[in-house]
Amino acid sequence: MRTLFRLIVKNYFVLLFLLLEGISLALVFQYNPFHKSFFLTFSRNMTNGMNTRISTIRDYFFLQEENERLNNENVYLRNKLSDSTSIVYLSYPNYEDTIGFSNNNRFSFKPGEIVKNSISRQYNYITIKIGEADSIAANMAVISSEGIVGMVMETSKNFSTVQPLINRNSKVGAKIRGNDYFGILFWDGRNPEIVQLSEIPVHVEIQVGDTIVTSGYSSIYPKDLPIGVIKEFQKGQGNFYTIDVRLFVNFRTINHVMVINNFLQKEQKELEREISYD
Amino acid sequence: MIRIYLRNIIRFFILIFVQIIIFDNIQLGGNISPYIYVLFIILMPFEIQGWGLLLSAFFLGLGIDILLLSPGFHTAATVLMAFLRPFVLQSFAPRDGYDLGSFPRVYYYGLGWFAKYSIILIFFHHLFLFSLEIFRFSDIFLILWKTVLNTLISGLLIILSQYFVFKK
Repeated sequence: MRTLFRLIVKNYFVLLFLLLEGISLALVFQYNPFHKSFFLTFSRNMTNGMNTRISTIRDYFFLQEENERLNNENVYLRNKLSDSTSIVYLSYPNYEDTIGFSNNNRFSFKPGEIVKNSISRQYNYITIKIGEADSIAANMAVISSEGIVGMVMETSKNFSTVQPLINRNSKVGAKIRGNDYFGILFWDGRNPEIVQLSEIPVHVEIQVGDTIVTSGYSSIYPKDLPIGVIKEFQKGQGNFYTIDVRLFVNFRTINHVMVINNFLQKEQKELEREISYD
Repeated sequence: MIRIYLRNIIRFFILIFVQIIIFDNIQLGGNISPYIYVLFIILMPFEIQGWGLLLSAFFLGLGIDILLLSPGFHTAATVLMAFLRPFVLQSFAPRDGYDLGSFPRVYYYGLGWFAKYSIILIFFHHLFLFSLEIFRFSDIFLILWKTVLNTLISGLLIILSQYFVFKK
């Protein structure tokens, strides 16, 4: 017994190391939604005031680009106005229609500003300055004027945490515009400009430059939001392509986003849950 | 003695703060983001006990993990780095050991010694961090590339800190 005790005291450095390393690795591999939301809430409370101040400084560096983007969007919207015969597939109402929402009008858009962003990690997150006070809730889609950004994970009163497309946990239903074959969009963690589209069968004819849009089958993203274009593709395992998609959204310089509220999300989810229980 | 403890505790919080507020906003090319908070482990006194070293490394990593929303990557890497520190110090020790009252800094042991000592520790920290984060054998070259790139940047910043912040 005494020998054992002496052994432990003598080697306590190694043993303590193994214990602490074990705890941290358990953290890594037991990472479940509960811990995630604990982390998210705690972290947000600690840093958000500061991040807001930093982002006001950061904004200055991208003013030029941001102006150009807004200008382009203005031109695009103006064109839509004059051209009354065109089909408006994406509308930007600045009011909330709370009474009669037809199918075209089931989404409302709210502007948000990014206060913290990361691109160099595998599990990137974005913090935006809009939260429960503006009726933002988890599972809402976040887009920019160029394309989709991600979805809301967690909210507090004035802030929300967004899981962008460039997070290894991200999965988005996407399809190829034109032939409507749909697959799943994910990120392999290599390049923050390129994401991957899977489950497109090899008999489908695709070309470099084809546009990828959201499929609209989930209750989160509206249909036909632009995501990116095909950069390259090859035949992968089985009878499916592996497709690299170049994103429209530039996560390095993104500053302003819009959060989409789907009024019918709850209804759709409930219906889908009922079916899956049967 | 108490002054040394106090200084290290203050340094602990300042480094976490600086890492989150300044260096976390430096993200170049999708692959570079310097992690300078490990400077805390590098600068700890020679006389620190093993348990103090490991436990402070654990809480340093945990603090960074919580603020960066990553589940344990930094904790694991920082604890490993603290574990390796005594061995690295031992292998680079001068012939008659480290002087009493001196600290592991450029001021006391010169640039060559400090660069070797810090770069090796940072390298292992980054290698373990990126391996855990990416965690795919097929991406071994991405892991190595990120490790080398970020070790150089973090190492450079940490060595520069010896000339601008921790002059003495």
